[in-house]
Amino acid sequence: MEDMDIIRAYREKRHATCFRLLHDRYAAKIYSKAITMLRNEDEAEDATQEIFTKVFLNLGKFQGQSKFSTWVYSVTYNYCIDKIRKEKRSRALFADELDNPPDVEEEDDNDEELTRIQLNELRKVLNKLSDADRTLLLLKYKDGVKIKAIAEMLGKNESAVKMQLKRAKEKALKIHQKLFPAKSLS
Amino acid sequence: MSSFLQIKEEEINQFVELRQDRVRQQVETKLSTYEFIGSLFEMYLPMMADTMTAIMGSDPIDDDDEYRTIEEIDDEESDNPPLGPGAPKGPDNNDEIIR
Repeated sequence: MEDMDIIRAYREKRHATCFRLLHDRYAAKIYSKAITMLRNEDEAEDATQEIFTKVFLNLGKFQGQSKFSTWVYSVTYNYCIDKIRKEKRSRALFADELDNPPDVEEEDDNDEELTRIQLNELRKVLNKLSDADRTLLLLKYKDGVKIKAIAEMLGKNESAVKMQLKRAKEKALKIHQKLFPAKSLS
Repeated sequence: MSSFLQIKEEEINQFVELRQDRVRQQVETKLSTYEFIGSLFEMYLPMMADTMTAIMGSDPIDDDDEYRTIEEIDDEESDNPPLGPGAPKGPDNNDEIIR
């Protein structure tokens, strides 16, 4: 059953089954995205709850011009960004880039190397990275958020995000090499 | 599958196993509370408005016993068109019924 059909049915009858269908389809994905941004499982659970309440209270406003998933994810990111800003973590989170704006846009090809890192190794590498770098890598490679969307989210231009991402990838690979010198990714 | 996607899958599985039911229940409770508060407002707001009007010295608005839709009013008017000034008074004129 398509999202829009469930939404129409929910609007008409407020049926609990429709609510459950939509909830179970999206809650886990919202939670996973919230973890990337908030970096705390309990905070991510609370955020999922708040985001879902918001989504259902505003369901009447959703006209179906974009996909329901796109709308839900934009509510998720806006909620998390607001939360981070309220806790004044945003400046600290992306301080490096604000203090050090990049002026060169470069393409790089270490995406493949990065995605070849084993799961247990990747966890260790992510733990060693700064909050900003970790969040950026997870947004891009775990959640599949496009550069343009990340730029909008952070209020920066795309080339700044690309450069920050490039640096984060280099740092991650360097850390990996240091922690696991015997394993070559190339 | 890349390790990034494996992390995502693990997070999703962990949520479904440990947190999904709790979150669903809490959202359902919140939504019913909002709905309940909304119904209370809908029910009592006109009464509160009347009370305020009365307190300020005006007459409260009398509710119609029956609320009709615009279509119902139109239908009724087309069945009983308004009488002209020279029209005879009689049983057809609801204002004055002759017995």
